[in-house]
Amino acid sequence: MRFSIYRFNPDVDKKPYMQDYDIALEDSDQMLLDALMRVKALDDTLSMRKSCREGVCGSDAMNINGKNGLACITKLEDLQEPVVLRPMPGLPVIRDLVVDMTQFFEHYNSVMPYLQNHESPPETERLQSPEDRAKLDGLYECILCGACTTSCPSFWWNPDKFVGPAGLLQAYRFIADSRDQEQEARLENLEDPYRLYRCHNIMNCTDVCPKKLNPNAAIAAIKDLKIENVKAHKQDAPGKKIFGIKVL
Amino acid sequence: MLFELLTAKYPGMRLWLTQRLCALSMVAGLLLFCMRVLWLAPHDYAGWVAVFAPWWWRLLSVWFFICMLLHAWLGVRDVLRDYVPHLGIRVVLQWVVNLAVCGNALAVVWILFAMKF
Repeated sequence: MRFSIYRFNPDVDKKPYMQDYDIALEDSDQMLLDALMRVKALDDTLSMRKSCREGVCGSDAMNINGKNGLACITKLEDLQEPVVLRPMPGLPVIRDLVVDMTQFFEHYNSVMPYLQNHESPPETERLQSPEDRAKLDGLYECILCGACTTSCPSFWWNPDKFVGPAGLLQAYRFIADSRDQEQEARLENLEDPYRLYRCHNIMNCTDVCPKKLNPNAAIAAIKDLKIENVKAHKQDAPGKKIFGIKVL
Repeated sequence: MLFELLTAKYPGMRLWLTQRLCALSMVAGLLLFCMRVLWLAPHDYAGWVAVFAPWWWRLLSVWFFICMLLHAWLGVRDVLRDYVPHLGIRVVLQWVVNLAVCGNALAVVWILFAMKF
């Protein structure tokens, strides 16, 4: 099987180039990661990340034939030859298929991805009703591979300002958590014109997510909650009354 | 509540919501237009003039076009901010867009209100 792989070693190369490999696969080689391990055996200068090899760690996210995905859960039989492998777009390349994810994790940290509850911890766990727990389905499964964020043009053009689909999915994961007490501060944290509202719903994120999650729906839910939040505040406020009727 | 969302207190929400409200206005305007055309069934120039003859219909038409131009202006503004990193070029292009939008708005008003019905 033929592979065309992006190569760049900043210590040696002046600019990146594509290198072709013809690999003889064996019957046990089912996934792209298996083939990449064959390439690596042939040319150990190739740099890439991998760990769990079963779609849980998200380390081996890369651009496969123009679409982001995880090498370990991408079937070789589904790929057209030559298989073109590039690092995820929109992030600085450290070497070959390895990208610098500092920016990605800065955005992730900026949404405060941890439970904030100011009550004293109970003796056992903080309980949730099954309904409240069900609200977290489709959110907590994110493995932070970065495939969604790096396939988003809004992130390419505003990497320092737009939080990106992965960060916003995680933001909503805690906004939707019934045990969290900082929902309002979390929504306020996303009011900037760039952080949340730069999403134009092109849904690349949902298309590429290897865990089949829907960051676009989470982003839409945050926008709805922001409106609901202002509405709730308005109802609580004394307001102006004309003939006894509360007006805007 | 709606007006508060469109103030500087909510800078992100303001632009996003304005664009959506414009889109909703356009959908409503388009439906009204279709209903009116089906109702009056104009088949010649005089028929089309009759469609736009009432002053309130011309006002509604102006509202429709203002919503359309505002919607487009916000969209193009975002595109320019994303795709044109050079500040000078972006400012020039933004002014071209601003002039085109204002020109179109004036043309709509002029056509609808200077026409003899």
